[in-house]
Amino acid sequence: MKPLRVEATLAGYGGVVLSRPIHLDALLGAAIVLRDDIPRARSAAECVELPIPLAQERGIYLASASEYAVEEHSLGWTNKRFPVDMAQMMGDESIHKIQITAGINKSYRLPVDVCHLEHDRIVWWCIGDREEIEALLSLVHSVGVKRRSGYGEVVRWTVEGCEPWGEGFPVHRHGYPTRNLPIDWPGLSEDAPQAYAVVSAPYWDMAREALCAVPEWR
Amino acid sequence: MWKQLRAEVLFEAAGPIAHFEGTDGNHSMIAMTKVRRPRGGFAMVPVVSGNAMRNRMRFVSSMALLRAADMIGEKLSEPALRLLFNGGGYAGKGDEDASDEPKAKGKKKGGGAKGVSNIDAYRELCELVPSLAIFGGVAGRIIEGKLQVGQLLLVCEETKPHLPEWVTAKLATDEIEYDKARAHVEIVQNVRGDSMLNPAMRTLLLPDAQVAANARLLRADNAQAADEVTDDADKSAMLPYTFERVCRGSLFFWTCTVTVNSALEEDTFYVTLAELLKAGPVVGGKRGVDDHGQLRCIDARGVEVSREVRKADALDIESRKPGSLFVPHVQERKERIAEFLKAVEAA
Repeated sequence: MKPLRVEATLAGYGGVVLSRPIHLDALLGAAIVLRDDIPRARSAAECVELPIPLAQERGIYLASASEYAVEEHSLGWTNKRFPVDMAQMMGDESIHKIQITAGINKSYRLPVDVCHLEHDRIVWWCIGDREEIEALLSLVHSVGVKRRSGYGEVVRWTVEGCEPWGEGFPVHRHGYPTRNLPIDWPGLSEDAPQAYAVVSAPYWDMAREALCAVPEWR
Repeated sequence: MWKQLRAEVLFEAAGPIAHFEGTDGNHSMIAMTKVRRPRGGFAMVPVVSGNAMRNRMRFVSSMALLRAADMIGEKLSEPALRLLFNGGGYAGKGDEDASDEPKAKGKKKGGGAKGVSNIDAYRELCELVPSLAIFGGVAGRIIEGKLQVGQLLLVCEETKPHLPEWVTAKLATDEIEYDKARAHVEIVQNVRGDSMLNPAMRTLLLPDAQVAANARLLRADNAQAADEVTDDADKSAMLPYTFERVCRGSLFFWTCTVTVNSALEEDTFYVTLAELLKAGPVVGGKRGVDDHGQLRCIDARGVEVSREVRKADALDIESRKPGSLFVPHVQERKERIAEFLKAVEAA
C-alpha cells in the first residue's frame, strides 16, 4: 500500500453532474460491483463487504473524496414521458385513461446542473494498491450522476505515486478534511466544516447520517 | 463472463433534426451543450441528449423482444407497457415488501425477508426480459442498468478535438470540411392556419356556427379598421411560429458503452444496435413532417474496451449474427414472458 494520486480526465464536452463529493472507496466499490455483477442493493442491509484495495484506519478508508473546481455551469434537462402512443396502439382493454400529471405515470422535465470543471479534472488522494486500483478504475467510464445519459465521461485515468503532504494524508490537509470523517478524528482543526453526513459507504444511506467533519468543497 | 463493449457510430442527418430544449414565445430553441475549446473557454454546440437516444434504444429492444416472443399485435397492460417502453416506475413499495419475487397479481410465491436480496428473482426477471439486464428497470425491484448512452454530438469545428481518430481520418479521406456549429443551424417559420378564414371551409359549418363565425370575423375586421384591440374571443386562431433545427446532411458522433456478463446479454446488446442502426433512429420533434429526426448510420466502430489497449474495429454486426442467442432464448420462454407481462406490476 503506497500513497497515490488518482486523476480522472473528463471529456471536454457534455460536462458532469455532481450531486455530492465522490469518495474514492465508493467509486472502487462500485467498480467491484460492476466487475462481479452483484445486483444493486436496495438498502444498506443488503450491502456486502467488498475487497476495496485501500488502507483503513479506525474503520475508515484512507482515501479522499473528489477534489475539483467548477469553471462553468450549464443547464441540462432530463425528461420522462409515459409511452401514450404505444398505449394507444398496444394497450389492452384495462387501459381507459392514463393520468400523466400525477401518480406513477407522471411526466417530468427536470433541470440538471451540468458542471464543466477546470482542466476537465477530478483528483483523489489515497493509500492503496496501485495495480488493483488501476485495474478497477479501468472499468469506470463515467462518474457523477446521469451517467446513463452521457454525462461525466472519463477519457483517461492516471494513478501515480505521490509524496504525502504530511500529517493527515490523505484524509485531512492542515486539519481540514478531504473526506467525511468522524468529528473526533485526530488532528482535525476546530474550524473544520461540519455537517450531517455518512463516513463510510454506502454514502446514500441517510439513516446512518451523523454530525461529522466534511470537505470544504462539499 | 465479463466484457465491456463500446459502439462508436457516425450518423448523418437524413432529415433536419429538431431536438428542442425550450421555447421563447412562439420560438422553439434546439438543445445545446457546452464544448471546451482547445485554447480555453467554451462553445455552445447543438446536441441530442443521451436520454433521447437511450429511449430509442429501449424502444427497438422492446419491439425485438415482442417480435421474438410472437407478441406483436397482442394487447399489453399499462404496467407492461411502462416496463417495456419506460423502464417501469417506482412507487416506493418494493423496499417495504418482504417478497422479492417479480411482482405478479395473485401470485404469491415464497420470498425472502425484508433486507434480504433475492438473487433468484433478479435472475428470473433478467432471463424473461433480457433487455432489462442491460437497460435496467423497475418490476418489483430496481434493476441497475449496465448501459451508458452518450450524447449525439454534432461534428463541427468546435467538436473536432473531441472526435476519435477514426472519425477525423474518415472525414479527411472523404474530404469533408468542418463548419462552425452555428452554420448547421437554420431557423424555419411555419404557420398554423385558421380554417375559419377560408370561405369554402365556413360553408361546411352548421348554420348557427356559420352565422357566429361570420359575425366574429366582422367584429375582428371592424376592430382592426378602427385601430382598436381585438377581443381575445374574436382573434384568429392563425399562429405563426418559428423553430431552430440542425440542417439535413449534418454529421453526428455517438457512443454507447455496455458491460455484459453473459453471451445472452452481449447478443441482446447487438440485437438492439442492429435494430437501431438498420432503420436509423428517429429523434427529436416535428417527426410528422419533412423527414425530421431521421438519422442514417454511415460508419461505425465496435470497441472492446480496455484502458491499456483500445482498438477500434469496423462494427460488423451482421457477422456476429445478432439474435442467434436472443431469439431462440425468447421463443423458448414466450409463454412465460406473455404470462409475466400480463401479470407484472411495474410500479
